[in-house]
Amino acid sequence: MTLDLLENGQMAKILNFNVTEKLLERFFSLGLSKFKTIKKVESSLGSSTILIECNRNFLMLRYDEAKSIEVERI
Amino acid sequence: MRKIIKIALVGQPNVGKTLLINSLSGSHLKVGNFPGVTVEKSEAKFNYKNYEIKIIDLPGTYSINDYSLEERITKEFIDRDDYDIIVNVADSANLERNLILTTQIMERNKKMILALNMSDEASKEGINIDTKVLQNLLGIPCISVSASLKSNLNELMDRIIDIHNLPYTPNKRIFSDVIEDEIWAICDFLKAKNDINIDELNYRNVAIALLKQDNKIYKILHDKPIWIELSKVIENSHNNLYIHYKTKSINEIFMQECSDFVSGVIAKSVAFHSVKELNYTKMLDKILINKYIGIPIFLFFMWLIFQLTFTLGAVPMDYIEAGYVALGDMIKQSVSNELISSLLADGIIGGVGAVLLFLPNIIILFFGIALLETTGYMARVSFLLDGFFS
Repeated sequence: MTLDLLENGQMAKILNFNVTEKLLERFFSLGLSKFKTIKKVESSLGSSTILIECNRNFLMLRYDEAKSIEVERI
Repeated sequence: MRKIIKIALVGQPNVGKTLLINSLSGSHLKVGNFPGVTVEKSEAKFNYKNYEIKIIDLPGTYSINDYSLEERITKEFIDRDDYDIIVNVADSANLERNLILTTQIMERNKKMILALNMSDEASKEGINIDTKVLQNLLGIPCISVSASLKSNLNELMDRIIDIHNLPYTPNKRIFSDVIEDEIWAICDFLKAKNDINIDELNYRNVAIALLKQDNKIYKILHDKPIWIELSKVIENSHNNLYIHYKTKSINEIFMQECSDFVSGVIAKSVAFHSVKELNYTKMLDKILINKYIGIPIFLFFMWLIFQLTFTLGAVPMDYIEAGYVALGDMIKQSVSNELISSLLADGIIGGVGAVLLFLPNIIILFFGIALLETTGYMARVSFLLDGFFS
């Protein structure tokens, strides 16, 4: 499944990124990498933006970005 | 004559780099901006003991890749400019994210110190960093400081001087076993060939650069006789990495490895304790970024700023208007020449007064916007409204 499909409060492990190398670099520099545990905190109206928690940090992702991250619910 | 130490200050955004410079330099701060690019580096100079300290405040950057202009400026400076030591400022409360940048800087093999800023904030959040363990794991000096409380700043400066005066010692940036095996395989090949084009002391750095597909090293070596055999060794190493990491992107392999290295360092050097205090920020966030009431709250704040700008601003506007009208009348009465009195009263006083009239509105408006920005509210607003504007 992809990150956008998580419910608020659900936790998951990142399995893969289907993004460009540039965006992947950005994800890594913000602390998002494979096998990291993340938690979906909140989404805005229409799920256009999604707030996640990773390593005690809060990160905002756009829907397209969240959809490109494969996760496994834990 | 004072010795000069040139320091490159590097860190992620909002880790308190500029506050650290101001706290270190005190009243002796001289700031000069380098124009030419939209993102600027600032330079501060001050004296400490027998040294003249020059600090270059580089733009805040999450990494030293080529993602943004800030990253390119910082990367160019670190790789090419002339400086003595890098002071990497990290946010102690977000150390894992900050150490990604630290690890990338360590790979440059320069003299560096890790300043763990906001140590007071980290303690409040129940984060306990064992600086001795961290220092041993990274192989670089690590010092807890607080720029806002001005704690441990002299220790940081003394350490900078010590490191400056000592010869460079390699840090402990080691890679995963799989990558280390491939580094050794390339090193062994280079040693066996003993090629005059490659300095024996830099075998490891050359091997890492080759594994990372660094363009500079490829350009240097690809037309040398050793390249025919070396390229096969590198290809073999890359294939081994592709199989192990299940991807054919070398960039992704090294980024993942960097992330794993940082996670390992954090696991051994940082302890997280639960804090019983209520986290007011989290409570406020639940309300402010709520998908249903977040936007009405934002509209209320905008209405409030609008009202304050025009209703509160109207009070001084009346006084300013009355003031410059009275001043104009006084000038008209006291200057007999009609042309000059009209120039002064209607032209200069009237013109300046008309501009000053709106000053209270502008001050209130900017104060309101700055308040929303500095409290972090605008970041929450971007979460709510990004979908409408993208």
